[in-house]
Amino acid sequence: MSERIPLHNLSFKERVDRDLNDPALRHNFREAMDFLMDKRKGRFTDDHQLQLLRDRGSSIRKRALSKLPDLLEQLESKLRENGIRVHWAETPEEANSIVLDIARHHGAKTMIKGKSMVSEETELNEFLEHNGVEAIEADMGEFILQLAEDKPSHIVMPAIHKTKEDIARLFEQNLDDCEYTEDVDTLIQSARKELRRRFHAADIGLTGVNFMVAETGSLVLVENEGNGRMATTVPKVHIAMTGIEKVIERLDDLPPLLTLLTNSATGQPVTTYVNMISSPRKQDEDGPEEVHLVLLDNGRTIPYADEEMRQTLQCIRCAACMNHCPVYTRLGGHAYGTTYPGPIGSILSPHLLGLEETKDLPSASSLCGACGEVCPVRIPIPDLLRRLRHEGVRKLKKDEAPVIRGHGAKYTHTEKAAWLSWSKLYSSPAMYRTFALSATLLRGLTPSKMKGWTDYRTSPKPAKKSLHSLVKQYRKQQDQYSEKQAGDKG
Amino acid sequence: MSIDARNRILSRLRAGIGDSKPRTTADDCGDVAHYDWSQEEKVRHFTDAMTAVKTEVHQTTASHWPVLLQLLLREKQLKKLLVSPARETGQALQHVDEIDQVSIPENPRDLKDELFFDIDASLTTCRGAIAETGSLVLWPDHEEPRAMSLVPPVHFALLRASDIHNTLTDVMKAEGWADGMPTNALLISGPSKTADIARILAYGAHGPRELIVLLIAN
Ligand code: SF4
Repeated sequence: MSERIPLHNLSFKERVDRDLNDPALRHNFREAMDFLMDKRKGRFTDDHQLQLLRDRGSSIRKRALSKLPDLLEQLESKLRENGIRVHWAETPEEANSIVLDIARHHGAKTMIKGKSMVSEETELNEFLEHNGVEAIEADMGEFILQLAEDKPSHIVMPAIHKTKEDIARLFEQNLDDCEYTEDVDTLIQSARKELRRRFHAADIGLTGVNFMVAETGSLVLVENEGNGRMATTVPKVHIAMTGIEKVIERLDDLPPLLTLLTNSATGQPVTTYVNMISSPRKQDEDGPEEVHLVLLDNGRTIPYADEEMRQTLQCIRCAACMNHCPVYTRLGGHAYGTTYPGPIGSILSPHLLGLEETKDLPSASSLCGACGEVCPVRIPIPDLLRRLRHEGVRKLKKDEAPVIRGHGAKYTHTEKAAWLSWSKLYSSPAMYRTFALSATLLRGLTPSKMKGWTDYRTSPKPAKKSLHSLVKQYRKQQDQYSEKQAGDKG
Repeated sequence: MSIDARNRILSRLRAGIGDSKPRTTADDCGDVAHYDWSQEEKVRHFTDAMTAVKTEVHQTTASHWPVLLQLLLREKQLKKLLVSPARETGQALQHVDEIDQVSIPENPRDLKDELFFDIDASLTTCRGAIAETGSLVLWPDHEEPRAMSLVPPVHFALLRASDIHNTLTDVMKAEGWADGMPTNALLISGPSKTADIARILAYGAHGPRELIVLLIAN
C-alpha cells in the first residue's frame, strides 16, 4: 500500500485503472457494501413508512434551505446568547486560520479530533502540523488512517479499505506495547489506551457537526465510539467545524432526520450517542469552558443560487448513495480523488473545487438510479449528474450568471462538431436514409480497433440491414400475407 | 476578516434565494412513525432495543436495586464506583459500606485524574428513556457531570419504568425542550462500540464497554 504513487499525481483515468486492477480492494469493497446495504434493508422493512419518512426528511431539509440566510442568523444569535462563539469562513484557508488562531490564543500544542469530514475538506491536519500544532485523530477509522498516512475512502467508515492484517501491522509498528495480533478487540483496546492518554492531555477538542438547530442554538453530534463526546467534554476548548448548509429550523425537525441518518448509514435505529451541545460549561459543570463554531462556505453558496443544484445541499451525509452505487463498489473511494467520493461526491465536489478539476466525476456514473432511490432526503442525484454533465460541455451565454465554477470545462470543438452533425443527420429523413444505406453497404470497412471501445468489447459493425428496412420488409410481408388470406377466403 | 466573510456569505445566500419563496411547516409532507404503546409495551420495546445492542437490562424495585447493584459489582469484579451524593442513587447507597464509593466532588473537574485512571464504574440517574430506539436520556449537570457516563469502563444507570416515553419527539414535546436546552443533552443507546476494523464489532471504543440499566418497575 505505502509504495503507491500519491493520488494527486495520477489522473482520474489512471486512478480508476489502478484501483480496478486491485482484486483485493475490489473484494473488500464488494463485501463491505453488501454488508451495509443489508443492514439498511433490515431496518426499513415497511416501504410505505419509509417513503413517508423520506418525504418528511426531504421537506425538512428543503424548508431549512429555503430560508438558509435567516436561519444562519438566528442560529448565530442563539448560539451567542448561549455563550458559543461563531466564526465564518469563505475558504478552507480562512477556516484553518481561524482554528489556528484559537489554538495560539490558548497556547495549545495538541488538538484531539472527533470525526469531521469538513476538516478533511480543508486539510486542517496538514495545516496545523505545519504550524506547530499536533492534530490527533481519535475516531478509530481516522486514527488508523493517520498512522498509515492515508485518506478516508468512505465518509461513514473511513478506513473500510484497510484489512485486519493491514491494521495489525500498523499498530505493531506504531503503538507502544502492541504486539502483532488480528484480534480486533485487542487492537481496539490498544488504540483506546493510546487515545485515552491523548484525550487526557489535549488542550483542544475539534469535531464536526451533524445538525445545527437554529431554534435552540444546539450542535448535534451523532456517533458510536464516544470520541466525539470525549473531544467535547474533556479538553478546555471545543471547536466545532461544519458547512453552512447543516442548519435545521426547529428542534422537532431533528428526530426524523436522526432516524433517516442512522438507519440509512449503518442500519441502526439510533447511534450509541446522540450528543446535543447548547453552551459551554456553566458554573461547576464539567465540559469545555469555551465552545467555538466555524461555519464554512467553500463554494456552497454557488449551487445555492440555482434551485435545482441547491438540492445538493440537502445532504445529511449518510453515505447510502455510495453503499448502493455499482461504480463506487467497484472503484472504492480513492479513485474519485476528492474528499467526498461516490454519488454525493460527484454532485458536490464540482461545486467545492470547480468543474475544471472535477470534470470527469459527473460522468463516473452509469445513471442506474440506485443513489436517488435510497437517498433519505430525496436528492435527485441522477438528475443532478446529468445537469452537471450538461454544464460541463456548455459555454455560458453572454451576460449569463455562472451556476458553477468551470462551465464548459469538458467542452471540445470536436465533440461539439460531432453532436452538431449528429443532430443534423437525425433531423433530416433524407440524409438519415442515405447515411443508413451507406453504413450498411460499407459495413465491411468498419475498423476492427477503436480506441477505448475495443479494449473490452468487439467492434460495433453495422448490421446488414438497418432496422428501418427490416421493419419495412416485415410490414410488406404482413400485407402480402393478409392479402393472400383475403384472397383465399374470397 | 470574519465579519466581512460573514456578510459576504449571507449576502450571496440572499441574492441566491432569487424568487423562491420561504417554505413553512405547512408545506411539509410525509410523516413519522407514531406509537400508542401501553406502559407494559414501552418497557418491552425499550428492553428489546437495548438488549439488541448488548445492554443489560435488569428489572428491579425501588427497595431492592442496591442489593442487585452490589451483586452485579461483585460478579463483574468492579471495585470503585462513582456516585453522586446529591442524587437518590448516592443517598440510597449512603450506608451501604460493602460498596467502595467515590463521590462527585464539589467541583467535578477536580476528579479528572482519578476518573481517567482509577474508577471502575459509575452509577447515574436518568432523566428518562425512549422505547422506540432503546435510549437513555441524560441531562448531565454539576451533580452528575458529563464525564461520569463516559469515562469509566462500566456505566450503571438507574431508570424508572414510568419515565420511558415512546419516541424522542414525545420526550421533547412532553418536557418542552425547545423552550430551553441544557448545556448538554444526551441519548445513550448501548455501550460504546466501533466497527472500524474490518466491520467487526468491538465494544468499549472510547466510552464504557458495558452499559447496565437497573429498571425500577412501578
Ligand atoms: S446524497 Fe443522500 S444518500 Fe448520499 S450521503 Fe447525502 S443524504 Fe445520504
